[in-house]
Amino acid sequence: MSREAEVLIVGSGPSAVHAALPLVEAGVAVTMLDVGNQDERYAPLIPDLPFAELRRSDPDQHRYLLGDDLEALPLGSARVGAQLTPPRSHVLRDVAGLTPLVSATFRASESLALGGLGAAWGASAVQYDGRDLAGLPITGADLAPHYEAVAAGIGISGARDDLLRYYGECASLAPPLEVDPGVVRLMERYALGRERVNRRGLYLGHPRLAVLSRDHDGRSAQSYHDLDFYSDRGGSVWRPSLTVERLLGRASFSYQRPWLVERFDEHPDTAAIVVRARDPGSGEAAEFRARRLLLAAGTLGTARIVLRSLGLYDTPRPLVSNPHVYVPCLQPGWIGRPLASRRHSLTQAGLIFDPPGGDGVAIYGEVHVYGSLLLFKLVRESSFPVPQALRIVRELLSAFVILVLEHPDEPAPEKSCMLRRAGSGGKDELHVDHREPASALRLRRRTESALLRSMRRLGCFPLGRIDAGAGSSIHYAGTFPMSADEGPLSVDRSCKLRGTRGVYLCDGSFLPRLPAKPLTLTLMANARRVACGLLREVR
Amino acid sequence: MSDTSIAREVAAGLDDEGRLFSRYLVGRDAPPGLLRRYAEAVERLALVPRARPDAALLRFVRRHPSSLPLLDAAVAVVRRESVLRARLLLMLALLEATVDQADDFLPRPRGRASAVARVALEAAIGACKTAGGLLILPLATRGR
Repeated sequence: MSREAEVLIVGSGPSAVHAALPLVEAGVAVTMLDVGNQDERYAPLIPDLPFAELRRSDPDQHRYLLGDDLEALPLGSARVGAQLTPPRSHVLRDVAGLTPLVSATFRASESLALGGLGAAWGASAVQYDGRDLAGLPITGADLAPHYEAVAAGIGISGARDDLLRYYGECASLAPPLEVDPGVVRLMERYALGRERVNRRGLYLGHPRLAVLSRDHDGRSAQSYHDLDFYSDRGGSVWRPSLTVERLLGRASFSYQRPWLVERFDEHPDTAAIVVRARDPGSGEAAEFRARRLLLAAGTLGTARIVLRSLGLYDTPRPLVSNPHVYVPCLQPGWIGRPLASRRHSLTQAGLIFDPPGGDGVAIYGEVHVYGSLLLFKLVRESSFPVPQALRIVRELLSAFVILVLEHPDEPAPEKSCMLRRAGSGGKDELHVDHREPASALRLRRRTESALLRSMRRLGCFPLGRIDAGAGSSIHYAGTFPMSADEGPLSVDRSCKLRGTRGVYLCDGSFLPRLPAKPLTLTLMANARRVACGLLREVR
Repeated sequence: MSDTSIAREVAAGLDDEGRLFSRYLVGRDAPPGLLRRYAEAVERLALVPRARPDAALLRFVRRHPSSLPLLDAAVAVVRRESVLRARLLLMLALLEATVDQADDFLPRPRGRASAVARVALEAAIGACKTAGGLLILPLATRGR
């Protein structure tokens, strides 16, 4: 099998679809290659009812709450990604077998799903500023029009509050989502003590989310059914599959699945790039040809393809990933209060810790409530007998919030990945080593303690700290960093891989370091920037 | 006794065990469909004892159902990875995802004072059970 396009895009995640969009809208023939796993089992089972009502009425709820294969039932230690409920389990399906990763220190999550990891993302959509892009040959001004275009397309809600200077201005910003009453109380306490906690570097406000607070572009506003971890009905939360659907309406776009891209070769005599892929089910091989190739298979997936294509086995590449911890907290003043009947499952409030005299944002945080997840997961963490733990958890639930904290990550010799050649008949393995130097670990704990001291002043008391381990943030970058210098295995400011004629890296690969803030919106904006540059080139 | 025969012995009687756990957790018998799902889940998740003390603990609970509250409390502290605790949590999850038991799991607002008192009471009960459970745990895990 052999097919031709002007531009090939590998992957269908947030970056891939935003690279495709401007090209397809300009009439460029784009083929998207993807494994494209989807949930074919659970979505039709989930009624369009508020979570509490569904729990009282649907006899089949165990199927999507626990999973037909009991996917929601790891009974051991806490797992990464609470939002990966059974209806989202397809997001990680087949990864271990098709793209093996070996590590004793890194818990990676990769996806072969339609929409990639964006099929289950938490929808936090904040911009990088000049400080976050320091050292790169692109600036905030280069990304600004693309942030606006992406935001206008996907629909972003939020507020112009204390976090505006960290999240960035957004002309199309829709009003913020409704907030859980317990978190409203936290925000009220923040408003009362703002000056004091700001002096210590803590800023709190509405989150910036790619979730609709009003109808937009054929999608419905948030229904407040608290089913965001289970169902995408109405399309309130932006998922890449929504954009793929839109692209499929254009004649110049072709979505090809199920293809796992293995390698590319640039033909020495012609301008063509040949991409070799395999159907993971049948094993059938195929070749696709194009003048340009945009790799957006996720930082780790793209690293596999590039290193294999260039024959660079056993060659370490840098890898960064935001350190990520959960801090369950209690607001004693909110014990015994009713839960809101209208709720959503995503971030309720955002926080930034930017201590005076520091080197930029030290911690990016999100405040979550424990809504549509089952209580047995909390009971499991308790040291009380099960019935007592259940009753205590029920009583405390309205006062319970979970802080999700993310730190910046810098490259270091202890943080790398390398591709190892497979034995006969096996798959190449990506080996990852990611260890935090002790000094960085100590600094991280000190910064967290300072932040949590300020949270206590707001009546929010930490109950513990769960470090889910390196890689658990699901934010990966740094493998082929963008630089102005002509170094090997790097990309230039157009994200073209040096040493190639037409291979562009459109995911996190190009970011040499990760600021504390989540990267997804920046990856989308950058992918659009790359595609717009490419458009000028191919036209 | 070989590992296989331990597993076979403990796998028998999952219906009775499921019923016992359901009564303990929510004060009611689980319906037959849920008991069947419990047995299937135990098998699918391979929640069988791998070590002699674990098997002995399960046998002890089946023979002396009144010891369950104490031993549950003890394994929540000192044998958190035990099969007894895993199976209790499994039954809890299955019960939670049913219509009949939904109200046992959904939050119920009450006044702050009442909620705080309830938490204190449950914590005190839990502590007492733990103390009692830790006393009998060596006996229960000794087995024959």
